[in-house]
Amino acid sequence: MQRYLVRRMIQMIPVLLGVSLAVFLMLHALPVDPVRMLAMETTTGTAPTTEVSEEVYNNLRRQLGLDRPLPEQFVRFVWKALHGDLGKSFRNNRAVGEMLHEQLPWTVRLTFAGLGVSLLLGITLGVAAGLRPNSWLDTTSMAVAMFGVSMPIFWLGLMLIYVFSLWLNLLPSVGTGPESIILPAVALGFHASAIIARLTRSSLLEVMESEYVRTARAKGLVDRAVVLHHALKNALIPVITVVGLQFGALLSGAVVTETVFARPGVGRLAVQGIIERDFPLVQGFVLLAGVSYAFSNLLVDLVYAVIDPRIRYER
Amino acid sequence: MSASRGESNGAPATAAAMAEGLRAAGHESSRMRSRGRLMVRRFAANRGAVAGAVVLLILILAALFAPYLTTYRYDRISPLRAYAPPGRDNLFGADRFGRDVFARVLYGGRISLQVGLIATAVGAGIGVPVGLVAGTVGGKVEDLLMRIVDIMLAFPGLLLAIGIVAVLGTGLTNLMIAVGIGSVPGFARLVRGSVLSARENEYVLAARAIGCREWTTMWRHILPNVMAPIIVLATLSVANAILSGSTLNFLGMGAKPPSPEWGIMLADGRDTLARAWWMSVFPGLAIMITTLSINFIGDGLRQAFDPRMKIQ
Repeated sequence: MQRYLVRRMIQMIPVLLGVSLAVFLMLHALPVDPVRMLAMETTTGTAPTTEVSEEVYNNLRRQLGLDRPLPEQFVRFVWKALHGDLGKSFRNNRAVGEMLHEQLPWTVRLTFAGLGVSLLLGITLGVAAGLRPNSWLDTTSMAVAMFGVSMPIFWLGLMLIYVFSLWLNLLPSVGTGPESIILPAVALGFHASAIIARLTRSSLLEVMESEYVRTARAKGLVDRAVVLHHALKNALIPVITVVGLQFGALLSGAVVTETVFARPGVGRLAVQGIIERDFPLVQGFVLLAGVSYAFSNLLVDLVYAVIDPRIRYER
Repeated sequence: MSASRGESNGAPATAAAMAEGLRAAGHESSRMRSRGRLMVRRFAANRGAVAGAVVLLILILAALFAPYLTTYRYDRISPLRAYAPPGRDNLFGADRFGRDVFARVLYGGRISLQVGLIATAVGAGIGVPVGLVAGTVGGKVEDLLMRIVDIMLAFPGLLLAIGIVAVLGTGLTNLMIAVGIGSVPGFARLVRGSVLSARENEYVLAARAIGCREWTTMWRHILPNVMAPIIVLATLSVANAILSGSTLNFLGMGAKPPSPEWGIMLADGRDTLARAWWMSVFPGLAIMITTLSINFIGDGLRQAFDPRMKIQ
């Protein structure tokens, strides 16, 4: 297990370097010169019309370290990022790391709540469909799953607000109270639940054919006991792998959900950043998302290896 | 992902067998035609897929013939009819500027279908050659290409597209490019995997044996045999692009407000949800019905080509 852990950690390094290289290059791939833009912003406010003097431009360029050779800039970027320094926002001159840190707990809470909803809903639908293949329950569950992948998160969010907040007046649509997370979590989780439902169904169908399930049946166990104690345990193993992928989907879904429900969070911050062309903020967010996705996948792989020892010996 | 269907069994020992293998790989052979018929029959037997195809056809026609289906223009402002509920004059109601929501939904279909098609063309246009080259050439080229794909995959879901929009700047064209590039990794990986399993087939060996060059083998013999999963992925990717495109538009990263794009309409209706539900319900329904019908078609195609095919 330890060797697997070490090997898996080493595999992370090129991924993380690649992610930071991509994020670093973002600023250099821009069709506009960020320095000129920033200089205009700081000297003339929001209406950049006049040219910036060469002196101001060069000073700013040096200040941002953009006059150095690219490889040096990249090393600096990684070094600083490792210390939590993600540069300063173009808009309000605050440290990007600090801004993200402030908003992160909201997004983490929402993502995990969404993950909970998607697992609960997805496994329920998948088991319901897989137990009686080709029954009406199967067809209905899979239709619900199909709706899940085809429905835009933001629209589902709006409809939930309309029905549960405006019409029935049951749950708050906006705000930061504890029950305000319910609707966003459902909107976010429904989409991800579709894939989990489909996977649970096919995995359960496969397991139900296996010999140990037949043995369990043969020794006279009732259906429910067979499914709960024998089949489901093994059927859910592949589901764990997609949880890692779903975490990524939830993370990017959180960007939309936060905007719809006007919740605080890093996603909403990033959307503002993109529209206002606040590049350091966007860079910081994309880096954060990429790195946390990589770590969530690492975690899922490790959990997988603990549950299923065969994984550790592969390759 | 199993597109590997050996056209002939056993090693091609004679030149005749090789020639047979080559002919079978071409799309003119009778066996291919009957397989085509089989696929059409399988697709037609799938009720969901046929329903999806019919609905999509109606949606496409509605978008194309929008000027004949409504006398309203999507950008005509009539303040007197602001917030008019659905009724005889405005089938889907009117928005806060008195613009007809039905007309806007119809014209919006043009934008969404365009986003879906162009983004998929960009994704497949880059992803398929990358996967083909990686799978056929192998070695360092393959390593480099697949590492780049891996890095792209490190940004989950919509975040890759969002990052690209951040670099290119907001706007509908950039949005289509961004969504398209976001789908490149899927195509590249699928095609590479299919090529790797297809190239073990006898007809590839036969093509090499009669002296076909690597590129000829790739384009004329391998590509036609890995088309099935590519077509399925492309179909599903149109639905995905429509969904992602409307999401980015909703977030304000694409088309600008007078546009009848569905995501923009939803962003517009969001603030007046309590007062005018129709501003949000109809464009959202339009997005859902469009993506749903395409997803059903993709599912039907997948089952028609090869019931065991696994995509995503």
